[in-house]
Amino acid sequence: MDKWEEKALNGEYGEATQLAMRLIVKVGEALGAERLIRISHAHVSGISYDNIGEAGLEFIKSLYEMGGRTRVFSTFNPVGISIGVDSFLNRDSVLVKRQEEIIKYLVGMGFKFSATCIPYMIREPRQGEHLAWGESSAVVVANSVYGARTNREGGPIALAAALTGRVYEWGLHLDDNRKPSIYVKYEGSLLDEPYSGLLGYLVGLNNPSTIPYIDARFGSRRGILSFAAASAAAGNLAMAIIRGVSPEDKGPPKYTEDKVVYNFNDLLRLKKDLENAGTEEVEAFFTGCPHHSVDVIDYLEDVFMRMNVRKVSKPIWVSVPAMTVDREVVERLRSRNVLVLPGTCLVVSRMGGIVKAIATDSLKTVFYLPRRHGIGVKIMSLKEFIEYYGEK
Amino acid sequence: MTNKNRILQLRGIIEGTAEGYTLVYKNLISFYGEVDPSTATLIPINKSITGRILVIRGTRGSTVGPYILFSLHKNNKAPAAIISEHIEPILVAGSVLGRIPLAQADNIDNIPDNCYAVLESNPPKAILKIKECE
Repeated sequence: MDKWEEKALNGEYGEATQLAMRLIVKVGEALGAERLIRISHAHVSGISYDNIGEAGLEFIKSLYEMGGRTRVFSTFNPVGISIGVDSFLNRDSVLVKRQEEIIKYLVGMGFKFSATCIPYMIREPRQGEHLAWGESSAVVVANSVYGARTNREGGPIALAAALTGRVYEWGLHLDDNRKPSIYVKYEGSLLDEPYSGLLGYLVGLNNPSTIPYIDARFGSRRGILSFAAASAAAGNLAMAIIRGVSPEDKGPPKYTEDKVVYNFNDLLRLKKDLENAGTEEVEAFFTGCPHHSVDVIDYLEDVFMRMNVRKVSKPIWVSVPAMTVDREVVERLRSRNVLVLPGTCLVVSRMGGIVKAIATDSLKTVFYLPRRHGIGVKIMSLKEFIEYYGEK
Repeated sequence: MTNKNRILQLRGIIEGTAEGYTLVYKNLISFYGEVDPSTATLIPINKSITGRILVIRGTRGSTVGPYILFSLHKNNKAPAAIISEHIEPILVAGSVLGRIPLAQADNIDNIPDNCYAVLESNPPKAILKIKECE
């Protein structure tokens, strides 16, 4: 440990720093880490009041009240309410108040008001850089798309890392642990949402605690993000080497016996297994898990225009980061029955009693909504939904 | 082979001694989403994990997991101990916050379900004493 780290552990930089340092050291020791390393960006998950409840709120509050302040660039995940746009998620006034309290503590500690699961869109990680990120989908993107280094850190550890600027040197921070051990080939055409998510779901579910080499052709960057999110929900994928995408791609592993080949039929079979609602039963379409960038708004308007659809008869909910979305645009989309949900998503919010079934292009959502809220799901693309429920 | 009075050698990850009935779930688990923090129900099998020695293949999914274990601890609903084949930082952090002894097993298929057992975790060692099976 360096001098600063020792002093932090001894409480010379205040109680919050000491508690954060103790937590990191304790977990690092349990994992067998030999030292701590400096990070350049902490991203915390576990800040939706509906997810973490009173116990989580008290934990965050105590760090704030003990004087905790971020020591590196720090961002936080989507919250349980929509930010700046009124929505069905903001009806419970107690939940809104508690959520605003959590945000106040985070911003008070120096976090950027981000409320998003795509921190890489706020600050792009550099190759080889050390990070401490919670948010399972972003971890896969950081390691696999940017070649940056982070483990799947739990929410409280990422928070402790924000307050100390340190994390334990273990797992994916070390060169030797970043090599693929199995070869996964997808034989089929270009993969996009929701099919890239289906592949991610299969890979995550069937290959725990491995780094797969993914030989598949993705149709878009969005397709890769969707793959990442699904793989880290149905499994515990933290990193993949994606052919032609990952900076650390040196070709498929040469000596591996483990080779898995998937084709379109495998995806269709999984899709059928996961769906528990029909197209007629769904009450809305949800997209934006992981968050769309604000560009999605232009994209949506284009799709409506090109398909010559004025509005949809069942709503489309779109999750984006908590950044200023033009009010006029929000209203225009509302008239098409499209609701923009900034700074939140259905996975982290309170959904009980709101709908019985939804359609979505997000396989991460397909993993969580039935388990957490008992909501039925139908997997389809945004275009398919607009085609089905569009009104001329 | 009788399970009674067997002793299994494990790897200790987080220290502590705990006793209770084993609950073996041979899958990965996302504490957020698959465990109800208010009732401690393991949703896929609809069983409570409170006071059990929870034996799992590993963890998956959400990084919010540690807060769920922390909440269970605060509500006196936490498992007595956790034994897992795969160890992730999320599980370790959850065990630290939730004050839950944690051990790693090479193969959880050797651990019988629904048996009264005592886990003594003293990192890097741990032993599981199987006392009585239902």
